[in-house]
Amino acid sequence: MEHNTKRIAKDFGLDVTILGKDKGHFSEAMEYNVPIVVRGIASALGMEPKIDYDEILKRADELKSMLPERMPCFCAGCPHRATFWAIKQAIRGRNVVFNNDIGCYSMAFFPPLNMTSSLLCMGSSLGLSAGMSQVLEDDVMCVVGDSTFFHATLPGLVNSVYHNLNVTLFVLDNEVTAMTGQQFHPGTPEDRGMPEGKKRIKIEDVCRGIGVGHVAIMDSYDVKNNVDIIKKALDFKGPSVLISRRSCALHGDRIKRRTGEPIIQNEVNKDICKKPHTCIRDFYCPSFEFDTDDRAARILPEICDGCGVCAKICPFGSIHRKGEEAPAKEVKQ
Amino acid sequence: MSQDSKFDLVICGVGGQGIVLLSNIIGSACAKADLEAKTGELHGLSQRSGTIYIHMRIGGDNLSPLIPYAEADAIVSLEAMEALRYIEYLKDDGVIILNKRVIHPPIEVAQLSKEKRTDFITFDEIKEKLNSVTPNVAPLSGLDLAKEAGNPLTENVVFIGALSALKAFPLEVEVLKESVAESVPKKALNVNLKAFDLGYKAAYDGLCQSVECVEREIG
Repeated sequence: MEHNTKRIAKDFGLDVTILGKDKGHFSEAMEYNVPIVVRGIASALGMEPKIDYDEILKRADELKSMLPERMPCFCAGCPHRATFWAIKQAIRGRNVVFNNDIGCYSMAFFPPLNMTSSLLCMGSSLGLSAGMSQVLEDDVMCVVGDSTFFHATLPGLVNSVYHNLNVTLFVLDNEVTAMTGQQFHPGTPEDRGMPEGKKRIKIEDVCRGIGVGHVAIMDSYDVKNNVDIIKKALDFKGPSVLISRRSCALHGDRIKRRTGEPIIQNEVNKDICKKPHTCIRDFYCPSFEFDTDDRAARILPEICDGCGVCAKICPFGSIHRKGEEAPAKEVKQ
Repeated sequence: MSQDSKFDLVICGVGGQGIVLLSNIIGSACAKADLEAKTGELHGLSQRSGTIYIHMRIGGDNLSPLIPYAEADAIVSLEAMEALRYIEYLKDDGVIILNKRVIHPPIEVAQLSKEKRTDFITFDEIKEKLNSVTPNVAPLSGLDLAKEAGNPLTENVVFIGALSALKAFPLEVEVLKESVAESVPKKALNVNLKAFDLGYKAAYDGLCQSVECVEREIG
């Protein structure tokens, strides 16, 4: 807007000074709020703001210094959390570069995962990885979602196959464009109520068609088995694609509500739980807390989505579906 | 209802609690009442479990949807910690309608687990901090009231009912209820209206000693 305003001023031969970001009155970055704008206008006019916003903020910051940060995180039941758990296990002891992309999975950038080497723009992860793979010794991997795959990853994939580059692309296929509200995309299964006359394009078909030498599909929730599948893809010489497939938890819930399928939450059997807190420290599902008296893990029923992945990673098999007597798996001795 | 009534409201909570729907319901009630409303969500990444806050400016001649620091008439917080997180927006002696629910972020839970601690932040600690800014804090158990109404998903509507208790809030109860009715599934209408009334009553009981409230029968 600033540059166009200047252009118009020039076109009309106006002799005016136009202040804005170019002259440093406003920042090029940041989400603007009232104090930022007031300060910008005041500095352009050579005035001081009437209200001392810093003082207000200082008092507020003191009051809220006790608060923990509340980063956005994967929903309860999100297949991405499960996929990233498996990736974390698979890359142990390896030197990896992990290029991130734009989607819900971007949140791998945030703590606790902190799993991002680069995050630029939609579709950038594979292009960057292609370049890096030619100069780095590390395992180079990148992640896109199903929708981003169709939108912006195909040229990078063609490039990787053409040059036979050692990159591993994870396509986190949750069947819809989840982040923006579960819209359909060309890879969405037909039975999701797509309009007539649309044809599903399977991601694996596209990859094989382009000539990717190693394409594997995994169920995001099958976390333990996925570790080896991921290792194999990382070891493959040449481009490899791993499609981690499972419906977005919110989309899955919507389908369940429509079909009347119940969502059965999980719970912790306190008699079996030995409190290693694997579920809390390694999985970071928002449905987990622990009791203050005995430190046993606890699952909040109003948040749990019943995906059951926590039950798979619990080393003592203490998590099971509500209403089921036996633990979800045999207890390790 | 006065047409020049003005009310600046911050609505906050945790992603997934139905905060955007809540602001939509209030917004469409404003449209019905012919009151101008400007609203802005400052956090685009409205994922579940993240912090969410919405600015809502009803009436007045505002050019911007954003409320300056220390000018909000009220904060409605669907989670206790989040009211404190946006406290800089509240004017002195402003009203806080505060959910007693404390949702511990996974990061807090994991940190305490690692350090073998159990001192989770409590509602009372949060309320004490809020009370140092304003005496007008109305705590209510949103989730319990929603369950009492018949469906835990009506938690957000409890807080619209709570707002209707404030005399300064420029929307009348009938318009708000009409807007609720248009925004929820038909079969869930009665539980939502019950949640609305329970929220009204809880806020009335919590605030009527110190703030001007609307008196009405619920039934």
